[in-house]
Amino acid sequence: MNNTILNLFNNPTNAGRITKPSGIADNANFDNTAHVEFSIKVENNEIVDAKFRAQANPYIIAVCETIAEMAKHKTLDMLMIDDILVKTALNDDSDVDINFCIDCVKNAVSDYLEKLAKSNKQKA
Amino acid sequence: MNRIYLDNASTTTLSAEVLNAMMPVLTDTFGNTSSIHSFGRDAASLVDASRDTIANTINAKSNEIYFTSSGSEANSMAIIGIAMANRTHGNHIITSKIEHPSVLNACKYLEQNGYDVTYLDVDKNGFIRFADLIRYLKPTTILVSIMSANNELGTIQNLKAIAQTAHEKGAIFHTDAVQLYGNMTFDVQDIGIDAMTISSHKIYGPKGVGCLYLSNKVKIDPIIFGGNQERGKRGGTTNTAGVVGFAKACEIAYRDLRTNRHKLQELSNYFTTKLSEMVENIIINANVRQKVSHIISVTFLGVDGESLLTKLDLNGVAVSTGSACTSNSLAVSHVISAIGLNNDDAKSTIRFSLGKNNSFEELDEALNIIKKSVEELRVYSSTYGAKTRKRKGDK
Repeated sequence: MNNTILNLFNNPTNAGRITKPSGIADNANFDNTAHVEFSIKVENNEIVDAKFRAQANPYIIAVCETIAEMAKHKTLDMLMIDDILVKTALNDDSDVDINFCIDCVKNAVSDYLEKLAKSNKQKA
Repeated sequence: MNRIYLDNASTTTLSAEVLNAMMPVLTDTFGNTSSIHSFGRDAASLVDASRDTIANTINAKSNEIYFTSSGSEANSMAIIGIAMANRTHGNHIITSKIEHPSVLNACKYLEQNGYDVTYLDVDKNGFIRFADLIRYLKPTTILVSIMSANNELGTIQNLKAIAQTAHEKGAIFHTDAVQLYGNMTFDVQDIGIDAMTISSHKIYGPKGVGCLYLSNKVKIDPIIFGGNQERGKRGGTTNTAGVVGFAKACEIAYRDLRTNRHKLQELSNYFTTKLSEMVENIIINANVRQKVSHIISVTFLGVDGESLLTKLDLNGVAVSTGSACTSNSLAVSHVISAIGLNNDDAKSTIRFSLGKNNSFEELDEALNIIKKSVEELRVYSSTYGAKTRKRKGDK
């Protein structure tokens, strides 16, 4: 574990859950040894805040912290996060599968879009 | 930052007395114990004296002590060596699911080579069930290997009863005593132990040396071939300084046994009581009287064990998880799984192991760091609230 990962694990700034989130989702890895949750706040089609909660090891917590930071201030159509971007930010060249974390934040966006579509339908 | 070491079941610091005993050997008595000249004879006499010292601590004969490079080697030597030497009597071995990997992997090796191995289940505290042992013993059983005290739980098995049961069926009894030796008096004759593994670095001795006690009545084949060292049972030049240090550590362990046991019991009681008061929603595993007091296994609900370990380490407290860690997943400890903890709780388990050099002040400092770290991790745990609500609902 490098210092970037250790620092992000030990001082996460995006840990927690947003009160009244626009979208929320949770996910687990393939063997159910790590569980993560992302909540997002969306205003004018832009993610203005993203937070995570996790019961996972330090590496996954650092991954979630990075994803949350990357997601912030992106418009929904520009949320292009992949494992290469995240691992580059972490200065990490491991082959650890982190897609369940990335999928989780994308699922939070889907949750928001579903709610929005429902709400629009009701208005119509 | 003060560093607090609470991982004494992994290894212990080298005692100053032991180092003092080793230094002249490292600097002056460098001869090969197999050499005929005086340099070799000097070294050999130190090794012989060390063998006497260790044998005396367990009521064995000197020629029943075989020095090895580690506890793992002694376990492998016992399991594989005894199985191979006694192949004509049978091919069945009984062990438990919570043994050290050096026992389990030696058994797996034997399975690949035509032996039949039974792995006994344990109860929620890590004790084997006698009914199972009796049920699985058969005329072809040549060896029963059950550890004395478990390295993750501390549970002490009823060795005398296991030995007696094994002997009634004609099986040899081996025990991995790495975590118990030095914490309890051992009389191999009285208990009925045929083979026993001991390691030096768990009792404030040097790393790289251990031994196998092997009754003269038991046949064994070597697994390391070389010269006639260790009476032809284990090849390789003897680690004279290591052996001398090991013997000194054994001598000190039994000289100070009563004092150390009392201190460790007090430290352990203090630690578990305070921890239960300070941190909510924890489970102290194998919380029974029949255990070594210095090993304390704790499950922190809703907290990942590796994350807690890392946070404690960043704050100067060294502990172990009960699990082998990989980058993205915790391979749940086979011991913790065997006592029936579910996957979530198993990966939330930490092992604290206290040592004679720990102080109450250190424990106070460590307890505050543990409390703070657990609270920090639980604030953003994605499962903590749901988990504790479910527990309360269960009751």
